[in-house]
Amino acid sequence: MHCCRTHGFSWVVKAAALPMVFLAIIFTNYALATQNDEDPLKIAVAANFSQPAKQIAALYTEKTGIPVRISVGSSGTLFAQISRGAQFDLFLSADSARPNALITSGKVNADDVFPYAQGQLALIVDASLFDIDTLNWQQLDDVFCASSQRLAIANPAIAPYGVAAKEVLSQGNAWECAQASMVKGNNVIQAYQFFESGNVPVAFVARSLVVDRNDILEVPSHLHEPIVQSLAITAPQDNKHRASAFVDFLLSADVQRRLVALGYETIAEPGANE
Amino acid sequence: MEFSISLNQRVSLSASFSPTAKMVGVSGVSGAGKSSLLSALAGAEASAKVNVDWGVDAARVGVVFQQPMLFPNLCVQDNLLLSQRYAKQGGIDFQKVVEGCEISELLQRPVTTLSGGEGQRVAIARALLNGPDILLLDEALSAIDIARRHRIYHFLSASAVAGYFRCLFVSHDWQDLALFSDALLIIDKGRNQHCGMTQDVLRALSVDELGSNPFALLEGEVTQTAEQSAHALQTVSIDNTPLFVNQCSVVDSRAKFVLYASDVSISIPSDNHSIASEQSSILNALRCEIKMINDSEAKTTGKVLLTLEAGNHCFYSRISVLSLSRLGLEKGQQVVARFKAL
Amino acid sequence: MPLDYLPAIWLTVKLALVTSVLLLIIATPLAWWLARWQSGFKPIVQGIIALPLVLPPTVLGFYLLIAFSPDSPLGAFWLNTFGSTLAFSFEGLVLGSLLYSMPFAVQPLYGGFSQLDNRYLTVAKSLHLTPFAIATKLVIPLCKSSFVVAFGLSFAHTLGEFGVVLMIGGNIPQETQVVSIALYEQVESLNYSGAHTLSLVLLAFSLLLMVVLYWFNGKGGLGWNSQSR
Repeated sequence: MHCCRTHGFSWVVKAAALPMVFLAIIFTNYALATQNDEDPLKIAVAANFSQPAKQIAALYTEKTGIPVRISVGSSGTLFAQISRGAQFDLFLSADSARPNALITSGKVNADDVFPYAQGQLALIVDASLFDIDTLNWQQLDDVFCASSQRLAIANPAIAPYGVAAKEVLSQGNAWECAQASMVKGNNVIQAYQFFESGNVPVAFVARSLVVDRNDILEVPSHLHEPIVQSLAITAPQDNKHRASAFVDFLLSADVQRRLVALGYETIAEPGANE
Repeated sequence: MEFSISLNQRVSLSASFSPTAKMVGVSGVSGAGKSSLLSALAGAEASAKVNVDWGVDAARVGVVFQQPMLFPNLCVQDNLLLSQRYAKQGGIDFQKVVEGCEISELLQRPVTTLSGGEGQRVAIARALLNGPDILLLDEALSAIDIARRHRIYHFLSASAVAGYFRCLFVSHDWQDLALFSDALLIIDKGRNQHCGMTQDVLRALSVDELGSNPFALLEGEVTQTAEQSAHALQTVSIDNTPLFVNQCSVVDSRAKFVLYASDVSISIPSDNHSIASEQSSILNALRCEIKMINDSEAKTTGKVLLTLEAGNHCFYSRISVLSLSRLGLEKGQQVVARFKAL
Repeated sequence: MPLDYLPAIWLTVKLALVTSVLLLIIATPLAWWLARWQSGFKPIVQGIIALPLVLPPTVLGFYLLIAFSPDSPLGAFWLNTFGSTLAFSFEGLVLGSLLYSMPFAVQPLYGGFSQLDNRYLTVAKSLHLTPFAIATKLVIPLCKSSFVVAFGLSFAHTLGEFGVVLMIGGNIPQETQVVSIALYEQVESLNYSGAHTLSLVLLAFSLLLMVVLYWFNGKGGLGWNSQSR
């Protein structure tokens, strides 16, 4: 135990140094933050839409000069955060249930929720391991009941693409047969990861994830309920107009055409004015 | 037994001892390398080059350090039993060891409650029960009081003579070394300074090497044992004079005892032939001749050291300068050395 | 409805138990060797062992996913030997958990072994105790609290494992759906009451475990090693 030398300038400097550095960091951060002339638009995006969202945001910034900040997460987690006050201007969900739940809980108005894209299912297969030369979508039993190979889908309990996959498999007995060998990823991206890493030979994934590949099988969309992806405008009152402007951009014909190229279908009703 | 050891810069020596030397004492000033030597002999020094011939094939070496290092998760008895479990055949009987180390009342005690001396006694017993051929003790009795220590040394000595093991013990106490060793090894700066049978080594040591209180080891025939007498003293015959001695080491009928210079007084013999003085409590009287007077410390301590000889027994006396001049003592003079029964 | 979660709870406990026992077996010799090893490379080895402490679990899970794949040596070996994939299996989870909780077993054991006075071992060797006897009669009793802490911490840590299981589990009920994954599913599917139930169970169990661990450690603790007798 040494006594503090309370005399001498050097002691004061040393004692004050650490808090000073700490404060300096905080002030600098604050200063840098306020240096932007424009506050960025804060958008929460479901994981499967993250790539398109980034592209569209870049286009928007180019066009209007407004910076866009994107936070990617799972729809459920983002919903939970927004419900408890997370400050996002827009919430782009992978389904419609979550934005609707926000209406029910009073967080957003009914007219602040819009569908913005429609997802498509695809089936990817490692042909060397999984026998699939003729696939009869009406008779999936033949394929999935005969094989003991693992199948990956997104978890139907939490992911809309999983729900769709389940609906497809429920033609006939395929769903029951596949139970034993089914692997559930917590979202459609993880289902794709399982396939890509070689751990499963066949997986139901989002078409947008495999749009560049040509060894995929498109799943006929009439076999499942449409995967309608909706957004909710969650911006505070004074920022709503900026959020709405982005929504208009997202729903514009040009952008919607891009979405087709990215593996989505356009929404049935075209959005607001173009 | 002979060995040669080389350990880094600490120790570099060889020594050999006759097969009759059952108890070998090791001494030297602090830092001379005694502990390193023992450690190397025990095989605990990985970097040491040790060349040893114990005189026994496949010798089991047991070692006891100054710190008992008893296993704290076991009580005393369990420590002993564990050691005995890994002993080879032909070790000393459990009960005898317990009695010899005087730990009968400690058996059920948890190890952490033992005092320093108690712990050391248990540690020695534990090593003995392991049935060693060679027992190395590194100041392993330092915390035990003198009377008990001597009794334990006696026990060890008797066991060694009985053939159970040979013992190498390190000690700082000259009395212990002189009384209980058959042979001595004196180390200085890691080197073999003196080595041989105890009496020879002690005689070869100069007065300075004997420490601050020079002593002599006297050896004689026991004419009456303590049990036989009415008083609890041995009667030992030195130069045909019966001397009464308390602390001594007795083997067969030969007794050894240590006589410190500070315990010896000088008196001038009177005309009366009998020197035994029944008027004084100082029991022992021995005629001797002053061989040398050493006054090197006279100015500092006011004392001189006399070297005395009785028959072929040599010993010392330390007296004041004042007494020297009062009695007019001179070299070659015949005097009577007096000392109590120690 | 709480009974619906029993399979997940049992699976989680089973995973934690198997992992902790295996870790004791693996970590003990490792920690022993490490405690006695003197080398300039020691910090490197210690750093590697401690990696799961600082790596995001998803990183670990990600690399495990790749390693378990039949395309890579480990996954291929497993598939050929046992006929099923290493990913999405309980065994795969155990393997992942072993790596994930390894530092929690090694650190306490390393600490205990380092503190063990070397002289006890010297004396034990001089008494001709076999290495097995030294381990069972001396090291384990003297380092008992380290073993308990190592087991307890690995168990508790594996109970709460999420990131790794998320990557390689596949969410198969009774096989790889542990409580943390079930909990995640409840939250994601907006079933908050179910989430509360599971959370409380996990929280209560973990708290109980940690309290018992600290109680035991305080009681048994460092009594022996600090004084050499």
